[in-house]
Amino acid sequence: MNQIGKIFVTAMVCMGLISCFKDEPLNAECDIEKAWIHADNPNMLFNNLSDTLITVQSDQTSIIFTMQAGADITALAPQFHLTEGATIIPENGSVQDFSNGPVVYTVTSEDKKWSRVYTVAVSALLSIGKELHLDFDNYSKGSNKFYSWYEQWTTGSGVTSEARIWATGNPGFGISNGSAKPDEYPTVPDENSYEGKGVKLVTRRTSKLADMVKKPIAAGNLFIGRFDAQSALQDAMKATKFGLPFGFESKPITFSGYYKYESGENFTDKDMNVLDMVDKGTIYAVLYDNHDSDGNPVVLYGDNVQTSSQIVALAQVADISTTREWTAFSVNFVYRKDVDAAKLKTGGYSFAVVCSSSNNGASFMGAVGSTLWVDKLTVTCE
Amino acid sequence: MLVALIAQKAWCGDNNSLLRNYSYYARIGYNLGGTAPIGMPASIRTMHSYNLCPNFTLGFDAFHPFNDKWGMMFGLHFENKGMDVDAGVKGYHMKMVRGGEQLEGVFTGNVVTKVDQSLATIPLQATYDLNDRVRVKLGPYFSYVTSKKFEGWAYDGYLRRQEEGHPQGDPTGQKVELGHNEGERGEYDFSDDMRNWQFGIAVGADWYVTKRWGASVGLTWGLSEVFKKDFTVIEQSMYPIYGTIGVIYQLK
Repeated sequence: MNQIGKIFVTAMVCMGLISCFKDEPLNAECDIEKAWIHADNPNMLFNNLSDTLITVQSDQTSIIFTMQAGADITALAPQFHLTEGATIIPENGSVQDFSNGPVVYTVTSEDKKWSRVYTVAVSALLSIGKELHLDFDNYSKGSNKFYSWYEQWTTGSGVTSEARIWATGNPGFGISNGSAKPDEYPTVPDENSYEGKGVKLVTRRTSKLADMVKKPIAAGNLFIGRFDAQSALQDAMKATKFGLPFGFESKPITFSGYYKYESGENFTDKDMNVLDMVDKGTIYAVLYDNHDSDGNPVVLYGDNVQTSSQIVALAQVADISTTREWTAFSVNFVYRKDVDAAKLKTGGYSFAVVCSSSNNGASFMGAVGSTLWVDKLTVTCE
Repeated sequence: MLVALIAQKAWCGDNNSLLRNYSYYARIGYNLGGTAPIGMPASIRTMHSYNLCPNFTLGFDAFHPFNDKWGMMFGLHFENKGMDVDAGVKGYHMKMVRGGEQLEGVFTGNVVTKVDQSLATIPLQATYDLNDRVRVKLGPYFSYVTSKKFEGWAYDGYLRRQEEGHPQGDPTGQKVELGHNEGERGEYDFSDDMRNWQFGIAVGADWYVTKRWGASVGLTWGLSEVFKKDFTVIEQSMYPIYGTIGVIYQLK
């Protein structure tokens, strides 16, 4: 037998193992990535052209189009951008009646093994009159291991429904602390608050898993907006999308409520070095223009929610340090720009209320154990 | 068949007894191969890079002929079987565990895998001399793993997190993006889940160029899985499969 031949065969076997790649498997994911409604006259249905398109988060199963009150929603044809190869029932672009509540869509993956259920609904802009009361009485876990908050919103025509305006960093905490119980999360309900139920925000120690990405603590937070953990490992600031569009009758002038605060013992940085600093809480409300000069939709994130040039007004509660008792606060909105009355009514401004147990929590600086209790927030308009 | 041959010789007790007529060899070699599943799973899409590792072997063998053609060879080899690969994956099940918490899901992106096993191996082979220069060998080998490593990281991709109550492989969970640099990517280390013993089949050929020196080529195919039985994070069974080339020196 040829010796060279032997060596050659051996080498080929090794190469063969490496080159045995199978065909590309069919896609297993079945997401709705984008949803949009194409209308001949979008200005008859929508307040803003940008409301016609929704980019759907990977953990979002409820898709809500905001339309003008009184718009005809009995025959709308939403279209969807799905994971490549996935199919949707009812058919993509089919006409549906949204006047009787949400329409349920099921997306099935290209490999037919997996599916996800989404609900698509139409809602009018949430309107705010003379006073907006935020009491934190409504919360639930749903299919999650953590609590989420919502408000009961009554429309002009007297219909009351759930408005899921509140977001927290709880989903992010659930990624690094999968074994945590609901009461161990950073944002938890407070059964005996100032009046009725309230919310308790606690800065928690995360896990060694989170240490890997230099996020050793998670501040308890609660804000009007959306939380998207998708890019949280690379840019935590982008996870908190502050503000939602509301229809204001008149511009907000005062922000008031009650809080109690206790700062944690050891103030630490990203590497858990103890610094000679004392943690403080933060509560503020911000009104900002949600379109830029080119007409593109704008959302504010952790790194610009108090500094962006899009901001119209900011009401900040000063110096939240350790208090033993419930403390009442009342601050005025400081206006940086004039408001456009028409834009105010049609959702051209997004509004956010933001609370956190560590005012630098977004930079992972704070004290584990810092706790902020909040209840009965009120926004008073002109 | 090897066992039968040895038993027959011991029983017959002829002048080619097992206690006499041995030749001794020293050998130095290099292992080229990897710790891989049999049949590449579809979730591994492409090989970005394969880096050579210091997979040297140093060993001593004893050879005893039974007759003109047949014989047996056994020895003790100290060797390294390492692997350093960077692969592209799609829907690849993985789990990152650290300090009591775990993050599990299906990952689409890139995975770097670094494997290293330092072994003390005893091969036991039947030999057949094709002519007075070439000898082919076949037989089992047994290895004790003196040091082991199986670690790496997932980068530039996203994980679909497996949520509570959802089955393994479910791709509908929260999407978490992993970055490129240390601190943004998902590190893993399964070294402690590796077995301490391995066995397999070794086949090879020795070519004696001069009276003392020769060249050797071979293939060792692991038959025992690299990981312990209760390790389920990597779905496929992984086996060490290496080709060896080397130099032999006859000591006696």
